[in-house]
Amino acid sequence: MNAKRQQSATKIPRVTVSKGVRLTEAELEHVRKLLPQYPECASEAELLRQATLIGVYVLAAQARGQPAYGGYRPDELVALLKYRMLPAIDFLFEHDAFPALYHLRVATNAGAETPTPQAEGSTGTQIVAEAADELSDLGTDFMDEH
Amino acid sequence: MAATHRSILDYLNEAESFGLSSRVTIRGEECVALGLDNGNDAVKITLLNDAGKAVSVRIPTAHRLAKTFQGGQGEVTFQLADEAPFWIGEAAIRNEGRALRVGSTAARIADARHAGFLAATLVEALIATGFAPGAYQLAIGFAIPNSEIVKENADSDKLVVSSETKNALRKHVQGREWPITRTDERGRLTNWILTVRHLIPQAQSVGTFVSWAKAPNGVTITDYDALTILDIGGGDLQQTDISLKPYRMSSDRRGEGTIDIARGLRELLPKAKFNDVTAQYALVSRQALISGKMQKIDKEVQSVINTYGQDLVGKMLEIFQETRRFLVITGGGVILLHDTITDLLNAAGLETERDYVVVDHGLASVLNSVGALFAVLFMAAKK
Repeated sequence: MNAKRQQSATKIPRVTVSKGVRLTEAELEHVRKLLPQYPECASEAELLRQATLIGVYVLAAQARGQPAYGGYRPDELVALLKYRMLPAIDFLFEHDAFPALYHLRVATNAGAETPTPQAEGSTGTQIVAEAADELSDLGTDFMDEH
Repeated sequence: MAATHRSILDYLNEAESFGLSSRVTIRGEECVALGLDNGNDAVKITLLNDAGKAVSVRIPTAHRLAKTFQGGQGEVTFQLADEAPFWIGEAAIRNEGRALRVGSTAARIADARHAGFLAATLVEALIATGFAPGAYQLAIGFAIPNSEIVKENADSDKLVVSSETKNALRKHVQGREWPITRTDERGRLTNWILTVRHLIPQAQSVGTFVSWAKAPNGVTITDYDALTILDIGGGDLQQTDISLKPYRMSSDRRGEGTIDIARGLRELLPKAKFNDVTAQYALVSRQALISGKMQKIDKEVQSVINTYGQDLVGKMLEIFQETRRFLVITGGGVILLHDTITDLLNAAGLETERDYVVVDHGLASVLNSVGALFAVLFMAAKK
């Protein structure tokens, strides 16, 4: 038996229990329209299970009570969320509705990689050398720094 | 170049990008430049975002130690180092917060609550501008009351920050490092470390002058020789006369600002149990929590403007009638008194653009902080 087959043989079988959820006909209609686009889901129930898990991961990411993250390890939750959430974030970007904090991080990182805008003039406006000349006449100046 | 012939205020009115960034380098160190107007009724902070547009926040000077809610969403809560968690601004007002100390800069920043308040407002401004949680070195243009800029000595025309203010800023703000935690309504924590690396104090009305007289690249674009800035603030009505050839400035406190109207509202609505800061806030928001209900108070606000506002209006009318200078009228009071002010100006035979400009409602309360920001950018370019 090769290593791969041995690993497969020792994997713990997935045991599931049935939990009922109620959906409207309109919601189920979306499920039916999605099903052909997700061939890995053999049935509506399987698609709904995937949807439920994604929802659980999102809820877990928000959960700060005890146990934190609904008991998921943070690195595990990152791995579970990452590829499932990226299409949603891309979608929000495409529709100009991306989450503010995501935008902030991108902007900040971009800023860190580029030289100071004023030094390079990359932002378009060059401040003239005499810009601050009259400010000191009006009492504006750096506080002495030690 | 056409761009140099338009003022910073023109850019603000059109919500245009300045083509500049708040990320500056001063003496080889990367800093975030911002303007901060430490007003009696609200702190106003302005930065430029990565698109080069000005982003301003206005946060009422209310403070309260945080309580723990037993259910539902919480309030945005701050904690400075290991001190007790607290709320600021509207969150504090919603929860019967207290006004911070009013008065001179030295009196106000010596208040033990002030450092936390200032650090928290800076965090809010950074978030609004698009900065991620982290450690930042700040270069702050710090607007102070005009009266705290004084002659260096009796024989000199040089203007400097008064010793009392300078010492207080040195002790409580300059060089401070504030580790602060922000917890949002859903309980998510972010950590910030803010260091005040450079401090540039400035007479508050100079912020308005810079915004009106200068282009974003620092070129002075006005051909006027003399102007008066009338700043209708929360605490004071300030008249600042500036001559441009050569540069000279004098300022005079002409009376109380909108606080007089706010106190009138407090007398009119005793059930609202206003303090100074909540009354000022109610004047602008035109609503108040009375007997357990958030109620509209437009009629009451109009009534106190018509009665208690007359003293303020009368003082402005004197200036309108006497002045031979160009008038720039600004400050948070413009929001309340815009129509009355323009009626008076017209009655005094003054013509808009030729004789005066009333700063747009939305910008009037934050313009000094915009000018304070540009002072930092201009000074940074010089360094």
